[in-house]
Amino acid sequence: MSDLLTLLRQPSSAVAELAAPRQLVSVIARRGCAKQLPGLVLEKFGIALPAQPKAGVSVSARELAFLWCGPGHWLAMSDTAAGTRSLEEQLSDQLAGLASVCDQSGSRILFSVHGPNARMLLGKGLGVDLNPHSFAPNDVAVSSIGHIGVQLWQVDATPTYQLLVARSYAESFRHWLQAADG
Amino acid sequence: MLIPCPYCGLRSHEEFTTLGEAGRVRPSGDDLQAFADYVYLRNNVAGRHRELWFHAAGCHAWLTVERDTLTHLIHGAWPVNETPTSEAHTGNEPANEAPAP
Amino acid sequence: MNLKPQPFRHNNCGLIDRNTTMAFQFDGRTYHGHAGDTLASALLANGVRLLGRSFKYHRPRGLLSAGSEEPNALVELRTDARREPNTRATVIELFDGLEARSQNRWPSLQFDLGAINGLLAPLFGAGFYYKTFMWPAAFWERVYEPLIRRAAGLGRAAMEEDPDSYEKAWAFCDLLVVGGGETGLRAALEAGRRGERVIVADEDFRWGGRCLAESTPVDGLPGAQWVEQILRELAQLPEVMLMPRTTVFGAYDSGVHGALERVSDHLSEPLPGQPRQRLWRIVAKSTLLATGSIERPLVFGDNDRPGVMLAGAVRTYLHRYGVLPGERAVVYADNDNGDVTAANLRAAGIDVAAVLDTRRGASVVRALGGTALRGVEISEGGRTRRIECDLLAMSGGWMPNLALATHHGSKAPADTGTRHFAVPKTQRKCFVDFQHDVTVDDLLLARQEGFTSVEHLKRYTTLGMATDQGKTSNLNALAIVAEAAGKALAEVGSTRLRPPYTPVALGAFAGHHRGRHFRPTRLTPSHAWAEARGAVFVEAGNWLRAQYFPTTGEDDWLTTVTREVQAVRSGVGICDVSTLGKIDLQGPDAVAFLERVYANRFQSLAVGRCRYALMLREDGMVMDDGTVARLGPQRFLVTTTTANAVGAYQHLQYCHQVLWPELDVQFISVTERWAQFSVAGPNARQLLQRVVAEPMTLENGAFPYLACSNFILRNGTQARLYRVSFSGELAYEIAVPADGGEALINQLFVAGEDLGVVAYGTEALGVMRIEKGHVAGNELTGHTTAFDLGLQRLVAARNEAVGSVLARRPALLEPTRPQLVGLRPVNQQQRLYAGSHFLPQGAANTAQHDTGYVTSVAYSPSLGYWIGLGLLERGPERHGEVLRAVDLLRGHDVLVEICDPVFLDPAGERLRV
Repeated sequence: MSDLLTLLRQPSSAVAELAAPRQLVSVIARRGCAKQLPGLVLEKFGIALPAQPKAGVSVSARELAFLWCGPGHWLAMSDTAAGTRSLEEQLSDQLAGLASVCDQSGSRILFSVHGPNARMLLGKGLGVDLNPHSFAPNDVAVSSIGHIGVQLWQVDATPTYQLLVARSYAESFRHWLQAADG
Repeated sequence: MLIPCPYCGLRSHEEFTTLGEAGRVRPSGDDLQAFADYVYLRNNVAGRHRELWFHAAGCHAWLTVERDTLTHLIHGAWPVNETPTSEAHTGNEPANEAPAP
Repeated sequence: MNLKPQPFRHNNCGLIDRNTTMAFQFDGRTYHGHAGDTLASALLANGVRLLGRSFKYHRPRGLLSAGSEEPNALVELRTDARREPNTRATVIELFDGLEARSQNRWPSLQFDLGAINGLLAPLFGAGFYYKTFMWPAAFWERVYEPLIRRAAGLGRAAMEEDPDSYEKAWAFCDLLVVGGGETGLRAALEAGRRGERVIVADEDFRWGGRCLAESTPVDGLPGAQWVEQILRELAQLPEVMLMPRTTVFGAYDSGVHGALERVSDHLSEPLPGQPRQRLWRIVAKSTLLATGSIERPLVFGDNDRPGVMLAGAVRTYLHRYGVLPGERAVVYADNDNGDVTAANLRAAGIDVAAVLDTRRGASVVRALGGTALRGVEISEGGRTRRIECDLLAMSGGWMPNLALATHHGSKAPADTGTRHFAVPKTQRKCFVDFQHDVTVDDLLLARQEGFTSVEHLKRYTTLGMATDQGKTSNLNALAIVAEAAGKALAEVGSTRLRPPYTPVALGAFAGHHRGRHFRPTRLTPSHAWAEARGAVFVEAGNWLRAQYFPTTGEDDWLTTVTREVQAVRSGVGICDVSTLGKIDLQGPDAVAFLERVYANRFQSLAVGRCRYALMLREDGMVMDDGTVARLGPQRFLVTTTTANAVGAYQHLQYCHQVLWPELDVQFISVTERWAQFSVAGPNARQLLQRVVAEPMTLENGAFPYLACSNFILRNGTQARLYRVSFSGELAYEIAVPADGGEALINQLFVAGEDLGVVAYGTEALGVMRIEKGHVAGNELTGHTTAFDLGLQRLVAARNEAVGSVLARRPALLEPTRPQLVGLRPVNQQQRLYAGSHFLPQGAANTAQHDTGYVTSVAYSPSLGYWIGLGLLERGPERHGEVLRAVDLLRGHDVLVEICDPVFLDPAGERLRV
């Protein structure tokens, strides 16, 4: 039995701001191409393109991840800096004709919430059921917290969650997190 | 009220914006009367009808939602381009008027 | 500790903790009680039975009940900033140091001058305010209103800011059990054992409901012990969440329930880091209402005297709180609870003078006494007599508490019990709604005046409209109405109860969103930089934008803004324009899509060029304006105004998904991706050439007016430049990835120091666009068309384009429509005021002479006088005409000359250098 009062007296969960992935690229399937795209992405990048928010974030060995954002819409994330060829250029080349691609680097801030109270903390603003029966590692939710848009996924069963928030909202979101963390 | 987004699952109505009656077809051509009807006239159904909702704080999909305006029960929600035709009138023609000449 | 004795505390009954004694104050006097007491039970234990004065008549009132249905004992709890009016003493958990005051009385509870209202009672019948305070009219504001204001209302709110914080939270479950009495706890256990996710909520601070109040055992155990046992079992089930002190106040659509958790109300102050209260939204797949029942009062003369209590409440005070509510009792009931109560009273040592059962032909005619019950006048077997008592325990039977079910519009099932509804013949007031002082006579009067439907009756008499929402009055009222109408109870119908079940503080609904955090704030990439430079900020929707940058010595905004404009027009200025919506749009059908969403043509827009674009609404009105830049054969960057960024994006998605899904086009907001600055002024090119890697690429021939392209900066940063100008000067907008925005503006200021670079804000931006006659939000009102704004040349009349057809409605093309003009004061010393209306000289200031209004004004540093833009009927035909700009609200009447809206450089030469 979880008595609310007992739970809330435990030390607060770990809330952290992390360095956002160095490169972020929006990928949107062209008309009629949503079915072919996963095959091409698997072939060119060795990574499964998530079809829905359930298991909506997929990570490859080369530190490239795709985050489901909507039907036919993903956010590619990479921690490697843009070298001679940016991720936008690579994706644009490899997915030419099947998807439109747009650099979004610098547009988001990344937060992490983990620990036994993580669900309770996020539950203060997120109207999505994070209970393990409904939400598992690699599941994604695109929603809002305190009127601020978030793209959230579960990293592990601790539980650990990560969230992307638009840059301009960062300070307001920090304030919400602080207040929620007690 | 919770809306069952076909992509994101059950979400609070606050995540959405609504544009009202679904199923209206934008006229082609330049008939002023047809356009005026399209822009200004709506059926105001007491009971089950279909509405357009946009998942603004979620996946950005436009959805057709079949909702009962009396009981607020939602009977279905589909991506706007995957909406099955309903048995009831689609809302294109006003329920109680004679067909246009 | 010098403990005052509690004369009405039983020496060993009750579930209170006698080892923990607390001191509290009521109306300035100190009393003592125990942990587990409510304010009501503690006062009763101390013999305090007069707790308040009624709303209209200021009649002395005491406790009717022991729960949240209490209509009488409304007190003011706490002092200063935490003061809470109208709290029910029966639900206030006692804590050490609690301070409470009675309400609605002056000078004191015992001697209240307001009681004079009782003598004027005939004037205060149902709907009295529709019949009084009408004559003479001169009295309305000067006499009646001040009088009414002083008399009206119940309780006083604190006037200081609430020092406590409030939280909100979501919870999800398979089963929500509302009510933690025997039924609720059993249901929770059963569901919990099946592995369901269960939430059980109860408004009380102890679990068990009536188990704590009755002497009858449960499963062979005393009630409280049985509760302990089941709680231990529930503790073993990890998926069961117990929420005490939590009122489920509303049942909403889709299984969503609103619940208020009183986290810290029982403490003198919340613990550090804890909120005062928490507002929950509970999403339940199914809900079980185990909300029990509320006892029905009986209706007779003066049935509101302190000492007249519900029998179930009497048992609660005896068994749960160990309090003796009186010394000599009469019991009055229409059901078996009368006998049970009598037995319990006797067991506690209270003298029971009579047990009156309506089924045996006995009834109470009236209660006797004023500030305290002295006795009752009864009728038995046709004879009346009086009985002395200080406590009347009455029971009209239990009424199922179906409030939450009726929130959804469910009708309560017809009441099938046999109840005693008859009202004695008496001149005394027989109360039905205690909190709003509504009597049987009020109900009959309303009927007589034609308010026969229950909905009308409720609103005309205010029955059921107080903070108790008719919990103890609704059924009695319906019965009286049914009787008067000669109808069966089921025929009369019932009114709907509305959330919240009990009052909820506004702070709880606000949660985190108060003060500065009412809504989230969006900050631009140069915000910190601007703050450090002393910028004054303005709210533009959710954004904070630098409005102007005062330097030392400038204490007037007009001086600062004038300086900024002059600096831009003579040197170079930089303004953060990151807030404008930016949308990246691609795909084989990009042009076709743009030509439908915008009024312009784009087929001919060359790669590397920008165009000013108008977005119309389907009814032909201008919705938004911005620029469209072609970055590639199938790639565009579209901008919107700051205010419309979200709306325009939603509109684009509507056009794409709903109207034209056959078009192959993809787009995404990149507002957050790019930090964007306007660099404007004669020295703009020179400044930018100092930061780009290849300065020659910025020469006028290589990068003419309306060009756009990617650039690399000297430090390797990728950038984009758009040569667009809102100010009318040589200008560019430079965009870099947002995380490099602050670095860029610093770099520009270092590089431009000798060029006289200044920071300018939204005010100077506004002045310059008015000087150039550019329309902006003030002119894009939602009522103006391209024709009205003089932008008809931009509209390519294609039926597929949104708004194109209805924009051609003949009435929208009439020259008599208000159209864009410029204006300047005839006397150049005079100031202009936006919102002023154009009226002819010599005409009366009436609507029939109104020919338009002033939309924007600014002091023009370039011209040395105030200028404005406006919408004037037949505007373009009337340049040179002199009119009056009249502002009746602020008292201005200025002679103005109508002119071309472009005040500076009409040929646009400065743009093209």
